[in-house]
Amino acid sequence: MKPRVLVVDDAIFMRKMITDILVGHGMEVVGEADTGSSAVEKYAELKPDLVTMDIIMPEMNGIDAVKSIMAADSQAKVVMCSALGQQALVQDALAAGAKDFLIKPFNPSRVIEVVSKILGQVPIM
Amino acid sequence: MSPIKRPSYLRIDALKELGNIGSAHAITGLSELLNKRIDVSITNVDIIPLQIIYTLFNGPESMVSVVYLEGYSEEFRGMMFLIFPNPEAQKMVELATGIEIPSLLPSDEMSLSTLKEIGNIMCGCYLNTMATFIGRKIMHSVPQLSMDMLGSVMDSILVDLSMESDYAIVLETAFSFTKDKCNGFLFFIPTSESIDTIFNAIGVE
Repeated sequence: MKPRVLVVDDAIFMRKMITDILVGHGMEVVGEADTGSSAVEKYAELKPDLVTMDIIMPEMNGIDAVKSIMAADSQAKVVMCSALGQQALVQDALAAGAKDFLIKPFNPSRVIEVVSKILGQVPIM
Repeated sequence: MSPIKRPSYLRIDALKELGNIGSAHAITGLSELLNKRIDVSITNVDIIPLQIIYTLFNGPESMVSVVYLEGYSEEFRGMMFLIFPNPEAQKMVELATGIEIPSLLPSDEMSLSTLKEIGNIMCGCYLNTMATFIGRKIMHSVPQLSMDMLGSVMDSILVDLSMESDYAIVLETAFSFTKDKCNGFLFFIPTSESIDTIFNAIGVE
């Protein structure tokens, strides 16, 4: 069964880029969200195996969204995707419950490596 | 309107170096996103009337796309602008998406999203460098995009941001793609309080 992923980013361009990478490596993108609050709702509705989460978004930022998702499901697997790769922010994201941090711009092999590791899979390159 | 005091030569030099490093990171981010070589043609630091920005283009009536956001932290606030003349903005969208478009339309959500994300990545990389220098976590607002005449865009942005002076310390970076002849300009305009925060953090008197 294909891993089911929820892609969260306020930029359609970036959602498409991440979706293309994941789908091209045998995963299924079951939903997209463009705000933190929408991500929390879609997580509850779709129960995906993994979430890719931007940080700077309207309404609710990605770190607060991770906290809400983790409060509802402590087993949730979230990987942050942001251009703000400052050490303090990475620490905040990991403390909120994120499993890893991808710094934009990223290359496809790095995305697959991180996502596969979190899902406990052998990466399909 | 309070005039800004001109910093010492040493401070200008420190700001210039900070601008150079920040720009290098921003350009690297863009280069990785587009998988293209990008050359930095100018990095400059100065106190200028903001209207001088117009002279870098063909006057206030030239059509541009401007991505802008506010970086903020404790005792730190600065605006970032990424400006592309419109033919270049269209080229940037085509380079990033790999799809040719007949023209850049404000109604084309994918093109707007692409330009915002380019701004997001470049400004994010720039602010990461700034965060390392000042030893603080810097967040930024959601990127906004305006496509209009340069004068009109800048006037409305500056009013929105309630910039307290017509003058600002501007860290300017101009970059271009050697092969694709595509120019863009990145500006960082910190408030005068933020300049003090930067100098205190890096220990420049």
